Amino acid sequence: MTTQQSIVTYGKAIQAQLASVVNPVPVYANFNRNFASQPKFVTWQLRNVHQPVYTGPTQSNKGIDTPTFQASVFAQDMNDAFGIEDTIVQALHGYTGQFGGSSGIFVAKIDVSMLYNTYDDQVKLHQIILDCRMTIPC
Amino acid sequence: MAIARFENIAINNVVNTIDSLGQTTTALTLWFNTRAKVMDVRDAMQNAKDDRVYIRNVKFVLNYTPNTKTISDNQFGYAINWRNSDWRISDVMESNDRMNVTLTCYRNDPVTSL
Repeated sequence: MTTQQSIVTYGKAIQAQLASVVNPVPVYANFNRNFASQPKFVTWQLRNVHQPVYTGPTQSNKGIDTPTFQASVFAQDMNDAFGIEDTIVQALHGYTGQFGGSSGIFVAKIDVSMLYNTYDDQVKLHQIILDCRMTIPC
Repeated sequence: MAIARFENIAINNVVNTIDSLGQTTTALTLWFNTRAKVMDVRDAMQNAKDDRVYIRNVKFVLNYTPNTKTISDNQFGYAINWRNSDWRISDVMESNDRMNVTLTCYRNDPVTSL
């Protein structure tokens, strides 16, 4: 039985963890205006924050939260994009423990799924999309 | 007789940082104060169907110096404060005799921050 954790906490933990994994590559929430001057960077977006709700008189009677953050790797060079993707997968796939530093959250596991790679000729950047599903027994 | 219109401007460095939630933040820090010849001040509004588009342009003519050459090479890294507003550089034109540099600047407030 627990209460829903704040997405502010999730967001800060994702930002901190991704930034430490791919350091010194910059990490942003959502796309940013620096693509013209930065040859590689990572963005993320959070979705599907949801704990199953059990019946009963107590509102805090909920299950395990399974939010997903979608990380996008951007790079001018395809080798860089694939390299950063591999760094994230090696570090986070199956990860258990404190996520996002001491002020972050505890995750039981993370499932990383590489969805696809693509090339955006508008911004001249290779892109790799990763789905990272967190299991948070809060 | 026409009088050249020189006015005080401040050249700011544009520094982009990331906050704890991954949001891009823009900070301006003063690099140096100078005077520029101010030309072609334009403040216009266009009605395009449902949108109002504000166009604010101004030209600053500065001497060709190592600092203005640096600005010319990295125009995205600098903002100019003039009449208490921050202007970003859209065009840089170095004169062929290397005597001056003309910066065409824009601002897009009030909605979008720099």
